[in-house]
Amino acid sequence: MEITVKPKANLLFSSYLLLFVIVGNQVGIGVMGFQRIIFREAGHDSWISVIIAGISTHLVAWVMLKTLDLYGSTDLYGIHEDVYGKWLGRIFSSLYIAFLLMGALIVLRNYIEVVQTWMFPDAPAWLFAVLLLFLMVYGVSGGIRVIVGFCFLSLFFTIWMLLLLIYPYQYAEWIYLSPVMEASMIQLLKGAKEMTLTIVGFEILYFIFPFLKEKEKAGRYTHLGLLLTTCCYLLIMIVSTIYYSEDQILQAIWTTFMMFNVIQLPFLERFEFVGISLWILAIMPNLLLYTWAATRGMKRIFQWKQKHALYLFTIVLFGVSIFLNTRLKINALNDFSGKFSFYIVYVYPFILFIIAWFRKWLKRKI
Amino acid sequence: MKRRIGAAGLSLFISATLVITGCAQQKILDKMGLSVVIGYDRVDKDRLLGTNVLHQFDPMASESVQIVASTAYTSKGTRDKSNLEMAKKAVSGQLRVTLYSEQLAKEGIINLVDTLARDPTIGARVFLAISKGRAHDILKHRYPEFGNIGTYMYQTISQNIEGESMISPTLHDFMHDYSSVGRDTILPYLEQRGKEGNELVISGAALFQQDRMVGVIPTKEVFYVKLLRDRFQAGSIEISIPREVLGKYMKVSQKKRGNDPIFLVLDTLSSSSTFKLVDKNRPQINTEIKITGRLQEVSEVVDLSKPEIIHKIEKAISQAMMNEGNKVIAKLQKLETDPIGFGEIYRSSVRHSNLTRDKWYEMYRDAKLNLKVEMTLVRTGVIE
Repeated sequence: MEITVKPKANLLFSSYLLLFVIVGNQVGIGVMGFQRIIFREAGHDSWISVIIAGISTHLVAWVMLKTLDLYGSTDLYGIHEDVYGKWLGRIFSSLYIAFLLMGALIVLRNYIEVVQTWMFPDAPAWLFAVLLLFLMVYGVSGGIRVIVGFCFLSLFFTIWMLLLLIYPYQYAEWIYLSPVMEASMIQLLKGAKEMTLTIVGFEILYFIFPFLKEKEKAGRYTHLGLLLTTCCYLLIMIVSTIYYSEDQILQAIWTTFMMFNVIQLPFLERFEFVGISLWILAIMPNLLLYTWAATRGMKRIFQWKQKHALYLFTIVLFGVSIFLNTRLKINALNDFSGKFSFYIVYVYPFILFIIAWFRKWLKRKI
Repeated sequence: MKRRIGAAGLSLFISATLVITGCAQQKILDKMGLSVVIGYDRVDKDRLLGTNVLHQFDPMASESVQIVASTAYTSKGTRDKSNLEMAKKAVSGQLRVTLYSEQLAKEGIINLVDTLARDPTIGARVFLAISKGRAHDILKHRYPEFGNIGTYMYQTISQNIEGESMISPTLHDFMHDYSSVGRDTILPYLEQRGKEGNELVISGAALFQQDRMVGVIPTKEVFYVKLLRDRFQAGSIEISIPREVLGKYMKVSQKKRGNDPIFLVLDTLSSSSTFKLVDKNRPQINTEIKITGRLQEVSEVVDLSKPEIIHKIEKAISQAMMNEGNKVIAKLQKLETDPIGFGEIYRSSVRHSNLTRDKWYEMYRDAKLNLKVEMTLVRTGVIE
């Protein structure tokens, strides 16, 4: 396997689109109900946890970019091979592929759960799985440029929903934010850690990096994207805190959608139905990017055809998502993946950077 | 290659769409009975009487509403039982008001409200209300002056909330206050009045301790609760001030009318309040309220062109509001209910208070809650 990747010029895309990729892959399923997990730790100071989590993403993304810069133009699979050698590298890369698939699985399964709870309680899960996976196969077959284009559209189709926070804001009670900083630093950090599931997604940087036209501009757009996501989350968190009482947040499963409950328009009694249906546009980038990165791994490590890997993964995703059929199992999956992602997304990049940097340094010495 | 996927994709997409629409439960308007109001009463120790007011979509029907009642052990149980005697399926997507009888409310209604909050087809803006007497009687009664009790009841409540004479009693507000540590719910209290009970009136507000009703206050006192709990933006009130305040400015003929108070009507009221926790061990909260408004009516002829008279009136109004307000607060303390949310003020000003409901009720009982009001008359209409 070649360590450096030099995709054909017609596959490259402009760097500013990286912003949409980062936001598209971060915003997905977590934002529908991240409030209560953080509230459990940090209470009404959760918004501070959101800021802390946001800042940490900048730090991690910076390290990721530094690691990638050491090689010029490569992806995580190339770095793994260089750092760990052929066999160990393959094992690490396979683990990462499993992690990526888990990301796709979580998005898929949680979205189906939301649709079933709110809109079609009597429609079977497999049907939605088939529909979503079909769209996913269609998108991933189109290649990276199609996926990036979709991310671009997806942001514009969903970001206006932030304006809807005006409705719950009418019921706002600012008193619920005070006293500020009642939670201890440890609680705030714990809360920030619970943000993991919601805020991850920017690790896609590792895979998409070689496809950028101007690689030196990657940092700027990555950080802009991360900032945008953090601002959205912060806004949602603050509005939820002042709209709900603490116990209400702790009970609500999909707090963000629950807030839509208060919107009543003359021509549309219940807005959630529109919101949830449109949310498919926000979760598709997750599905597409994660699966694409995973199939790309199969191609890079095992020289599979990307198409074959895609079919295999689709069947796996379908099977597992059918198996996870109750709220309890889904919660267990979310909890597990939250913990797992924390180490993979937050801790691992630092370790990888140190090893990679050390190797480069050794080579230069010799 | 790409085109093949496109064609196959399109056909699969269309078939999947067809299959999905076939799978989901259909909801055809003609086959639905839309619940607008649901009333609940206690029948015996553990059975409920649910009264469902449904909209009729049948142009041939002589009445625009249908009323179905049935008894069961749970609220959703009554709905299922009601379906047995209906040609159309009852659905709750258009539910506007749920009415609970006073008797039921005194036992606690959280399990009935919780099921509303749990149901995704019900919006957060459904109103909750308490009925004096049985909810069934109010809903079942044929009112000659209005045909559709369902929409009428909804509009009565919503009109009064918009006019700021009632505190918003939505499902969201109930659940919010119920799960807050330091604030209690307050809901409109409806009763039938007039000859043969042909009128439906909001006669006051029901006070709650969590989900248990503990008392009623008349609408006049609701004003003060609202003043302290929310902000006024366009409310109005009738208030009385003692006659001697304006005594020397009145004509001799008017002075002779004895000692009846003078009545004033203020409207376009807007208020802002500041709360200050002075003592946290034995809670003392000082509240300062600033109100501005327009003097709309005075029950006596008074020369309003002189600034000193206006100042006198302002002072008298402030004093009257302060007295009334403090009385209402004392009453609420006695009933051990905190619809104003002093508990939240305590919680938000004391770090690490770990306030719980029980703790707060204990403190609330003998907390010192002082109210100060400052009234400014902005204008007095088009003539002085």
